[in-house]
Amino acid sequence: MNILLVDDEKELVSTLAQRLEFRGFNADWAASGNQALENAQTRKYDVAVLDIKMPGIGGIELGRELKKILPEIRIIFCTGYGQTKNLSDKDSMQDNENIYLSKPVDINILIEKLNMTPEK
Amino acid sequence: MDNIHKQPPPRGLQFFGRITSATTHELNNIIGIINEHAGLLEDLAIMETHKDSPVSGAEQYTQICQKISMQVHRAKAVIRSLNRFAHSVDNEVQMMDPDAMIDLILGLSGRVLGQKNVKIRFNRNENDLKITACPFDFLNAVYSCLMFAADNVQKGNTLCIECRCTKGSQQDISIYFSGLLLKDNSSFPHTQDQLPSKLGAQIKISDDQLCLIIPGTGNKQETSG
Repeated sequence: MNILLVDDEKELVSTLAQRLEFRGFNADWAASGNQALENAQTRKYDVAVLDIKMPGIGGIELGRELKKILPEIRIIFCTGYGQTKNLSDKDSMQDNENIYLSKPVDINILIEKLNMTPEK
Repeated sequence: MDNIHKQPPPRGLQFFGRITSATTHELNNIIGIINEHAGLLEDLAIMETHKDSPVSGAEQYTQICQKISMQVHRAKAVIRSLNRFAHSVDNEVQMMDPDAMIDLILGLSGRVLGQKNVKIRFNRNENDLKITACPFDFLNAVYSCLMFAADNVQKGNTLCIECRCTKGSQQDISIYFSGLLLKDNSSFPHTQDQLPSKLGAQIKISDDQLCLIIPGTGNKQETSG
């Protein structure tokens, strides 16, 4: 499975990518929305894990742009406190379209969400 | 009752909310990085027990521990700033070093300024400036101007900040925010509105500069000898 991780905290996103590689995933990372869009032009990703609040292109807008390039891509949003309602006391949340994970992300919960069968 | 709920919170509380929201986000990110490094250490320790491990041993562990230590220092700096901010309501009025207060607000706003992609150059005054004012209101006023300036900085420019005693006065402090490109001043009255009224501060604006003037109670400390 090819995964694209995007967060402006380079150290966080690069370390998470390394840990996912150890677990058998192909994980690329980008520290900005623009860099992520460049990556998506040259490589097919199955899932993108996006921080919602980033300088420049934020996670929500980036998700929309990635879908234009890779219509089949699944998006998982990561967020700090208060950016999505009802997530403050939980590790994850799902609505009709998206999955949200609370930061700091628990890698086991992330893997569980990565392995979920996409809804058709 | 409904009207009470519809009213926005007082401006001081809005400022308090913005600062604590930004700093807790930053602390959460730091915890996230430490969490990943701790997880990586655990992964490497598990892998080392297997044959053909790609782990190079002590050097890699040392590097990860150094990264964790750097994040701990980063968190301590945020917490120190947040603590100083919390103490800004201890006294209604007190004598302060305005440069130190600007430093504090820049530290507290680091994440927001980063989100806005704004570079800052803060030129400290060579003289030992002092101002007597309400610390919380002072910080609130500087923050309002800083956010306005950050939203109007000329593309590719650095936002320069400098605090001076106003010419001809031993009492007024002027804080200059330069490097702006003010195409549209429509949001400027709103910024003036956000200044705490008790502080009696004023904003003057030109094409590329905003000046926050804090009057009356400040004075330049004379050095003897």
